[in-house]
Amino acid sequence: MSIETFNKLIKFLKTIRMGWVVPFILLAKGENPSAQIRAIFSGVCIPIFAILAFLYLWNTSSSLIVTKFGTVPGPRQVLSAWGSLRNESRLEEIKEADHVRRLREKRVDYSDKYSETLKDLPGGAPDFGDPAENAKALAAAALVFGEVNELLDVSNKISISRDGQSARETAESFEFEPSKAFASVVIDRLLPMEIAFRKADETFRMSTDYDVLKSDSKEIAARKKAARHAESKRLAAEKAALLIRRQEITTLATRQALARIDSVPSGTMRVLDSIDAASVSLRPKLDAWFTAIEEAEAAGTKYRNKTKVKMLNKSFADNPYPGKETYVQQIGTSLKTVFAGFLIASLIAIPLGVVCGLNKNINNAFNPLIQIFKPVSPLAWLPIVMIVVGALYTPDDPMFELSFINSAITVALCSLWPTLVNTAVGVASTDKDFLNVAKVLKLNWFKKIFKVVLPAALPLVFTGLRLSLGVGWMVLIAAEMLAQNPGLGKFVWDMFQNGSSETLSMIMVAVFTIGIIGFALDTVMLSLQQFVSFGENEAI
Amino acid sequence: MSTLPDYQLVTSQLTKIYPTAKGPAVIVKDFELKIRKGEFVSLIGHSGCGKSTVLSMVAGLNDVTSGGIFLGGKELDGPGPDRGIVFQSPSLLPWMSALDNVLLGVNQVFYTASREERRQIAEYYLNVVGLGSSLNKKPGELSQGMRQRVGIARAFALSPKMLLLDEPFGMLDSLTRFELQQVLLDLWSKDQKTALMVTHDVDEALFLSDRIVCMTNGPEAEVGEILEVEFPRPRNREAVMEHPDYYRLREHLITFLEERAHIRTPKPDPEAPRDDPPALEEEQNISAVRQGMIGGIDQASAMLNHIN
Repeated sequence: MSIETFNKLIKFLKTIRMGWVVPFILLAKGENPSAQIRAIFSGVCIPIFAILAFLYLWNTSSSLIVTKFGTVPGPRQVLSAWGSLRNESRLEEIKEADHVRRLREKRVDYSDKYSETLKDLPGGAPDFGDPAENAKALAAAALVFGEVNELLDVSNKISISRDGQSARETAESFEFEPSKAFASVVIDRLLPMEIAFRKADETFRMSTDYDVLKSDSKEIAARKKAARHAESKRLAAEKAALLIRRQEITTLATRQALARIDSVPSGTMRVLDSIDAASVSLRPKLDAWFTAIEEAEAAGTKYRNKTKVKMLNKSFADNPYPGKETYVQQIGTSLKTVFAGFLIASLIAIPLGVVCGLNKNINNAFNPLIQIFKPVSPLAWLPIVMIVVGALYTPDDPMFELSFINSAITVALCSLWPTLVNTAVGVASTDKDFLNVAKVLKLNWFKKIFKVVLPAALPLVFTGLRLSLGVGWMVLIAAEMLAQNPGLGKFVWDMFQNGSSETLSMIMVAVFTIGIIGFALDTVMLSLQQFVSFGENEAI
Repeated sequence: MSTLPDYQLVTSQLTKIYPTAKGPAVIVKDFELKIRKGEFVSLIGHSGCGKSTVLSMVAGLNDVTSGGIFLGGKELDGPGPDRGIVFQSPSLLPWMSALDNVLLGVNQVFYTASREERRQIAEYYLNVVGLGSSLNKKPGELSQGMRQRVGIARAFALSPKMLLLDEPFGMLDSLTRFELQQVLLDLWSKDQKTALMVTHDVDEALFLSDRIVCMTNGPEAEVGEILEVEFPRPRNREAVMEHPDYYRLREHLITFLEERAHIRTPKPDPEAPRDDPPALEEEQNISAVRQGMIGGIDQASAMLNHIN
């Protein structure tokens, strides 16, 4: 690496707030080690120490405070709350993918013998067993672990392993009866997975390749057939993939649940190990399937039935996944909302800021309004927004939820001001030399704005945008809470209303999520800001 | 007022007054200057004497309080790309590459040319100033000297009626300055543009100019003396410095700047018969003429004819 690229890399790291990595790189290069070690100490060790000290204080002091929801959760409880939220999200994801797959399966025209193969696949995943079986699992699990609720969940999540036989053998060797019962419930769910894989595998062997088809029939017919085969192959492979993922998460969740129990029967762990081994061994095969499918699809894509695709899309729209919002989806909603608000704010603030910056009189006209509205809290804006938007936005088939629009507009109203003020200042303080260049070249108004004034003001505009996004993110939580927009704000509110033993730890998870995402957004904006800054002066 | 065709730039009773709290401050008063087509004229004087004010008035960036400026026979009104300006700081737009900086002006002036032609013009001038390999670099990646080269290329690429240079090398170290003076001189001798340069560097003025206009100190700055520099062209630095008159002229200028710039020359009556300073008549290789103030064009041309 040349020195130039190396310096660029270091500059880049510093832009994305990764400056603390630099001393490590320099140390590895052997550049002035004692200085690097000092830099590491002050840039890495001290922050880590501060975080540890914070965690320690939190941990020791939290148990001292007893609330109506129990003691204040410490870092460990919060971490485990995060884990369970994440598992829940993953499982919902799979359930949704499965829902989509089933819709597609219904739509596929099985006019050839391959449809038979697909029908034989165990449908209805993720709901594998019947209620009786679920109950059985519950009972067995309760016996083994004594944690009924968690393991009901776990046994619901457990699915299939190709290595069903070896798992069964493992289970047979259990001496402790409840363990054996649990294992057999697990294995009952493992076997359908094995069957699914066998069938999917057969589908592959049976479906002939495009080239073979082409040899015995007409070109187009062959392509159509290939496309159809590809579709059924994809369905089979996706089903298998879903099963594997589902089972991986289940195993993970089970392990997490087990980690909280002091003495776990060794047999249970062995079952889990064999399930993991099965999924690892299935991965390469699955990858090979997908490659084959993509090739087949490429051969047949042109002739896919367009109406069929349309019908499929309609059926997705008519049958949305009925499951509940997961935590990850709530984060997504929050991000979507804040960006919508931020976009509205930018679209208003930047042009208005440019106009204010260009003309002193316009600036003087707007200034009092800006100063008055700038400090208004989102909580004051929201009722107004709700009433006004409620009156104006009444479409028959709303593209956006009302709560989303309310939150986004509230965010926009609060985050408008930093961008507006900074843009105006940036435009007004365009370097006189640049303006002289524009004057001398007799650039027209449009060119002057877009070639000279705006680029010159861009660093300050971005400073404004960065501040705006920060304000918007902070305001969003309050707006969502009141507007009941299904994002992080609503999550916090719902948790507060639920009032269970997990309330506090869940809200703390939300606090950390909000903080970390806010930090990430700020870092992205800072990087953008420094990217558009042309001078040597670093942004503060 | 009629102007003679061989005068590219004429300023007539050019005056700049700034209103201040203590009453109007007269920066430049009745500044008279005539520059022939293809002539290189330097304005020299102490800092703050108003020479940059004169230049920026000619550039149109500074309003004229009274008097007039005529370029090619037409009175100027505001700035325009018919005057290529090289500023003291290169004033490049830092978000554009060197090429785009030059193209910005070229696009304005040659809007009828095709995109490719305009690009060729910009590339040509950047090549001439020695930046052929840095076309796509941003000003931030260029050294101060290279930036000023872009500035020079930008001014020449406009194909202007005249060049205005405002202490163009003031911010450079002396080696780079020498280099760029040569670059400027080469370009100038190719294009034979009328040029007006503001400087306080005596050697620079001597090396580049045909005439050096010495300004008296402000306020109410005016033309103190005009010095003809008749070193043969094309010039090169060694030849100029070895020229027998070089040190005498240099001495003369420095003396002017040190002593006489502070003394206001009495304004001669335009009607009265002029007597040329005998000391100057003795100098045969050059004729530096202390002009004082000349009332009108006719007298100026008579003066010049006399000198030549």
